[in-house]
Amino acid sequence: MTAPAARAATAPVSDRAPRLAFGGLVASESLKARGLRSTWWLLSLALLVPIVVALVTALTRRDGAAGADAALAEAVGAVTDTNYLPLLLVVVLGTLVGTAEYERGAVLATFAVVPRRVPVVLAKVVVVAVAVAVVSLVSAVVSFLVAATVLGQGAVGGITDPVVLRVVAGTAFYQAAVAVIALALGLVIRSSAGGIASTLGFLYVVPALLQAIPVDAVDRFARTLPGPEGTVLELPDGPAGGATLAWSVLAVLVWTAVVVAVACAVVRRRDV
Amino acid sequence: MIEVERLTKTYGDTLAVDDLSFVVRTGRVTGLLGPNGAGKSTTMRMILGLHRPTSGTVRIDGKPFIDDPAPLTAVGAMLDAHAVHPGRTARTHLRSVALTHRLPAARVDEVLETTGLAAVAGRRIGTYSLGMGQRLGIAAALLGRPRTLVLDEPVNGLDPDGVHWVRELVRGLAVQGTTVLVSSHLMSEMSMTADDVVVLGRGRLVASGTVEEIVAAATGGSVRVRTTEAADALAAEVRASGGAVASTEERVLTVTGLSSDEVGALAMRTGTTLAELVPQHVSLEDAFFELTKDAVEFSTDGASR
Repeated sequence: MTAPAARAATAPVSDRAPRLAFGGLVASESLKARGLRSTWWLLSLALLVPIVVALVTALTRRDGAAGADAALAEAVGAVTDTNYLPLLLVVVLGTLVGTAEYERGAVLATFAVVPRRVPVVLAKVVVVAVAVAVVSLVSAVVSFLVAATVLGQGAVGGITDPVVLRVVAGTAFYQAAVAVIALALGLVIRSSAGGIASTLGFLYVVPALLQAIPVDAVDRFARTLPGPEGTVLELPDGPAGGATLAWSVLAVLVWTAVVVAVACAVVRRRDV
Repeated sequence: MIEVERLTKTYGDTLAVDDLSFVVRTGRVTGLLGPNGAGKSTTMRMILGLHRPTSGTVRIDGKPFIDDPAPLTAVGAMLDAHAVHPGRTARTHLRSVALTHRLPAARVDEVLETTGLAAVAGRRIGTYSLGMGQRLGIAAALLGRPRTLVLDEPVNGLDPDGVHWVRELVRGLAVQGTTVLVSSHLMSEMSMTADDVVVLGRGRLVASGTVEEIVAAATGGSVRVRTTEAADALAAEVRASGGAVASTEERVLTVTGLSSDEVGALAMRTGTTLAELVPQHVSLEDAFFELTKDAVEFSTDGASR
């Protein structure tokens, strides 16, 4: 009994001694992101726009959906047909969280407090990935349920259908990855317009250009880029089979990690 | 203690800091002085590890700053008061800094109180005046009760009350054992705030030492003597004793190389009646102009060198 008591008398000082820790950095970066009005606007829109679009889509298709299978397919379509809308919003969100550091040089203060810098980038990655994944997941589930309710014929029960679950989870995963890529490119390029343009270029323009080259190996490489792989993850009729799906997840993870690693290297080396 | 050793920084062809060495001592306020473009900010950024030196090293309390497990408690810095996102509130900004080191929210309230920002802490930083932004920068620097404080131009944009407040603050912290490095191009301000000064010109060390030493070194010290009649005998005696004499007006001598005591003794020996015997003190400002006149990057005579 004496040992813990003795420790209690002396330890609190060192226990509470301020110390740089990753958990603290994540809390700090989360607060910084929440302190910007753009974060709230973009997350709210990313949450609500798909739900509204799904509702409108379902209302317009209600008469065409004859039979339970057709209703379920229409409900899934109401979620996936416009999934580029929230994707654009999270690209802007990720970019702004990155470039906010370079607005008026706020990064000076950030890196004076965390001179190793890389943990700051990783903390931002955690914050953006978690926020976007949660919002996307909630948005996709609610969108499906709203569309299914409108379409009726038992489509609501389809939420437990493996294809629906895969689409919802795949969309959340892909959007989180894209937001992280946008964040990383925003940190590298330091300009919001430039960051958004390069992210969209990386996702859509680069694969299209590569696939225009009539060489098999180039085409296969282009298909591993996050843009094309994202379609597999987000759509119900992507290549079937567990292996292909796992491959898509892996490809998106690896590319995201590569872009984040580049951002870490650039941020660590560059004078601020 | 900050030890800067043979620090050099080049940007392309531009040599911003050139083989700079100096020491900032603990428990004293050191002023980093120099005209615009002298390399003050670059030097401070290299001290904080924000710019990579081309060569040379910086140690803070004997080790590189980057290795400190709690950087916020090692060095508190304000490098650019406007380097904060204008969309956040002051409290959010300070709490985000505090969270990195798990400092309690109460500490944020304390520094807001200390810097007089408590009443405006909930306002977006973009709406702040120059002086309020400056106070916020100082608040962030104080947050971790750092052992070393580095402030780049802390009195810029402050009203006379604010200038006085910064002076009292850094002097008080130095007395309590903090190492303080403050940059300025306002010499008169530094002569009242700093114990030691490091003078830069075009990236090079021009002079370093205590304020008194710098003033003495720049001027050599002189004594103004006014006599009631012609003072040729006294002038001859001064020269014979190793002093130098200059005379710009009738019956007035400017003696260098001898103290006023010595000049007085010589006057008595030569039977010269003195009307004035005044040791000449120049201000740090004059000393600074004297020291950096060859080292200003932009001069107003149109010749940029």
